[in-house]
Amino acid sequence: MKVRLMFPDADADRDRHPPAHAADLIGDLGAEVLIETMAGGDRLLERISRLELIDGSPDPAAVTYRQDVLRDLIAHPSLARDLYELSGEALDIKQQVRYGWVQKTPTAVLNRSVQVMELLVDCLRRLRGIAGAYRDDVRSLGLRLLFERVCEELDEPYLQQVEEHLHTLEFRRDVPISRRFGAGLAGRDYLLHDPQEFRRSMLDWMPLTHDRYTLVIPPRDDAAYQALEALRDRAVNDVANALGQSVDDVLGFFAALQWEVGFYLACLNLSAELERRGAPWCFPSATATPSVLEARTLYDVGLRLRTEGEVVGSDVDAQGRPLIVITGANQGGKSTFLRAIGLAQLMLQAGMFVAAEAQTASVTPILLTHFKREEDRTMESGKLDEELRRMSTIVDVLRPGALLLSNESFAATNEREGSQLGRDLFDALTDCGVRVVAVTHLTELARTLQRDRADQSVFLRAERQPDGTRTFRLTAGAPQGTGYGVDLYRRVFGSEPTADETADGMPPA
Amino acid sequence: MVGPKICWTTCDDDVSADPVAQGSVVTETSIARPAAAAAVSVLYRDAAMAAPLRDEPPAFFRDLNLDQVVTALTADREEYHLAPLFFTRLTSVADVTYRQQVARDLASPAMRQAVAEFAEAMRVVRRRISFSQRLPHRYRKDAWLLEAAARYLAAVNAIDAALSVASPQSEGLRGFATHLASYRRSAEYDRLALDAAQVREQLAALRYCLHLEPGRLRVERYDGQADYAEKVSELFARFRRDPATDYRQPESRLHDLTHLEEWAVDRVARLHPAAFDALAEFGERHSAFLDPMVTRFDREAQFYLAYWDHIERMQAAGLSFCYPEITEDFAGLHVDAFFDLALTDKLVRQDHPVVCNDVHLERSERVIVVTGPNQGGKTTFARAIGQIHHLAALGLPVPGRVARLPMCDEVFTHFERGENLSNLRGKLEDDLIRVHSILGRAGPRSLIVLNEIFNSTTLDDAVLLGRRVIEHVLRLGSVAVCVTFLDELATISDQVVSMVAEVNPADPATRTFRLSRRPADGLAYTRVLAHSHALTYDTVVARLSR
Repeated sequence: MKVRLMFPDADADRDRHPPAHAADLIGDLGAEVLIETMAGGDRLLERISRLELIDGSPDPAAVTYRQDVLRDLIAHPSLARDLYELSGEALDIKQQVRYGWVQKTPTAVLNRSVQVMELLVDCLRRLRGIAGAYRDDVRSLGLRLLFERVCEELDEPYLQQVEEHLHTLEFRRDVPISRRFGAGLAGRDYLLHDPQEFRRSMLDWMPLTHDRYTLVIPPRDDAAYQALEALRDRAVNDVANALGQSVDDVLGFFAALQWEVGFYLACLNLSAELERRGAPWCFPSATATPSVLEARTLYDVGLRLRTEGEVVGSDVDAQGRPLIVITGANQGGKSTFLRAIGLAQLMLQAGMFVAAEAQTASVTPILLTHFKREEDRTMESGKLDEELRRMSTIVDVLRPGALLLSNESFAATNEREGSQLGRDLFDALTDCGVRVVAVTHLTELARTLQRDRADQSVFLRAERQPDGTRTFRLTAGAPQGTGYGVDLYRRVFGSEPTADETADGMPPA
Repeated sequence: MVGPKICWTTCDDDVSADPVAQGSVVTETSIARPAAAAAVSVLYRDAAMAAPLRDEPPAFFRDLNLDQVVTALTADREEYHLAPLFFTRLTSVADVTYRQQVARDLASPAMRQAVAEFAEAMRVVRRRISFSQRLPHRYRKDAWLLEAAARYLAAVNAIDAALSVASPQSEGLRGFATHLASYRRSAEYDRLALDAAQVREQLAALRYCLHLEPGRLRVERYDGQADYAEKVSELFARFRRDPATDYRQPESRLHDLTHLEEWAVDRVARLHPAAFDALAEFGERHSAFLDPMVTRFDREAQFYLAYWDHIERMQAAGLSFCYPEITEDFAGLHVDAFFDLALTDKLVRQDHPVVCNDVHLERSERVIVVTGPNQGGKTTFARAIGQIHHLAALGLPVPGRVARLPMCDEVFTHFERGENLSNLRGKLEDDLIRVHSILGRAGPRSLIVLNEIFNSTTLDDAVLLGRRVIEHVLRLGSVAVCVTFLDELATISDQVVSMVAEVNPADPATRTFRLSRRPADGLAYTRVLAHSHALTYDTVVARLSR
């Protein structure tokens, strides 16, 4: 039995490994605070959020499917909570029954499985109750089909039948089996039978025929008792296995339910927090059309959660243009916007809402970040080497449709070399169908891209007011020759730097 | 009512750990029927004549590392007692040819597989027979004999079929094939096959019920009751998710027949007397069913299979083996691309490259003097030549692409035995005594391998003694390989061939392990080394003059 609240045709793989670059992604995008908010202090929710946020679906249909379920649960928050709690209770049953040293003999497995299953049947009944109560209120395909399955497959006659068989499977007295002779007259082809099939009439008990022999084992023949026990184990081997697996199946169902409902519960935690802060969010539209990124007032949700104040959002419109180049003033909101794009992409593909007023974006098979690493500033040559090695491992996993967020790549070398490296790389990537969003200080790089690749690129610039203050809003615009380091200098030092002290060596504008 | 004392015995075909259960091919005579047909052998041209076998390895085995080879060859095949076959050389070219032909036939993948499967089946047969003989319970004893017979019949049929498909060319295998064909037509074989099939069929048809109750066991007829496990499985099918944990207890642990079950067997026998009477009759009639020629083939074929299995890895690594042409008298000694079988096995296992060498002796040439740097592959070269001579005389293919060898009646080796500096005179004396003894026994059909002879005396003495020994060898007409650091020995006579272990001129520290036929020039190596360290005359002059 499947849950299928995250995919129309399968359950989420809870044991899958996050992508190899997941840690970089979380760090570069500052996603930790997002995960923390989603978890709301629940350790399982944290695990779920971490995996599902980083490793969403590249399928727009799955995205829509999840958005619908999420809408339902936003409308009925107590439903999410009830399902999550019931699953937790069901999963606790195994721990309750499994006290002490766990025997692995078939008889022990069988007895334990009967006990657990009896308790699970009760949980299934309660699940059917919830399903019945909400069946007509939910609108998403995921929840509707789940509730239908639960109501139909776990109907009362079926559950009663299960309980009856569980009673038989306790085998209080007779374990009837039949078997054939194998090599050396050892038993083979064992069949277990229902004791009720051997119920006799009184007449049968008359000793008229010699077609039955009974051996009564004397009390002190331990070996014979052991042999009988071994036979009994052999007899219930298959049925113990079947029941043990069924218990696992039911527990697996509840674990999947807990996981998938847990994901939506985490989304509810986030939407509640955003609403508390008065921050806007919307359900984005995912498309399989390549190179689409359109957003209105897209902001960095991580920054919004870390700080108390407002966070400025920006607009972007890159229809059919695989390269977005962001230039402009230092500390003008370039990296922040890059993070906003990255987080929105993750949230979109996870099936969540995004931090914007509106968004449409292509799904991507893989999202990667290449951010300037602050820690090894000191060794310049070693740093370029590290950068290039890191970029090389990124290129190893890139493929058409991938999205690369580049934050000041190749800044570790001089302007000329860095620009050349960047130009070669970005040209090659975009020609191969990889989308690139690049924040860069390399004026030469930005300038030649503007000159040669304008029709494939979108240029955004960090704004600066005439008085030097930043709006943190990015606007469409061609790159300029200065990063406005002079503004920054002025704010920090309170005076004009001399020409050779400006951030990028350019004379103040 | 109490059964006999419990008997925890089992015959698990997959487990061969119980040594008692493994009947040995050679000692398993109690059940073999007396030989009626003519004897056939795939090892000896004259099958009836029992060739005396060495029980101990020949003296040179250790020096040539053939002890390691034979240990590897016979590992996992102890029950066949193959080692004496590898110790004992054949004495005539015709005998060698007889084996080479069989070896060729058995080298085809189809035949190798067929024989390997046959051997595995016969192993099971012996294990079952031996197990049957140790069982006290009458029906079980007979039932295991029946199982042994069934496997035996299948094995005989399979090997017969494989032989007729392969249509072997060798006299040895054709002889065995002929024997098999007539054996399979015999009335006795027919009877065994028919009885086994009938009894097995009767037993297999029976199903009976056991009721396991607390402290009681009840046996009764089976009356079509349904499979309850399946019903339970179906009931829970709708919960089925992904591949599940297997909770089943492994079958083998539930395999033991206890006295409780023997009691049950006896009661089922009363419920179904016909099948069990037939079983008892089978046990009486067929207590000894193995054909002695079939069991002989089983063992003898292992001689070849052991070798094929051993060299397989080396062949896969691209190394060649060939059937040497054996000449009655010396008509040249030629081996191309040969290698040391013991060393190569290790190298190939570790994925290291293997260097092959050639050797050629023509006309009156008889002695090879091997010189060159230490660790340059000299001793390996000499060992390999010794190994090839022994293997060729066993009728086996030898390392190398092509080979022609004289029939070799004896291999003599003299290898340095551990340094003993406190007793130099004693060691030289010992060397001389041993070499003298070799020269006293060697003849024109012998191979002598001398490794670092007379190292323990002065250079002048060593040259003198070495020269004497080589001259003696030349008079005897033996073929000899002499590994030495004495270049002088390489030029004694034109019957002596000089071979030198090469070094890589670019990097004198790496040996190529290749030996080439050229005059001994120990100085060349020294010069290369000197150059690489800028210590040649010219470089030293140049450096000093700066």
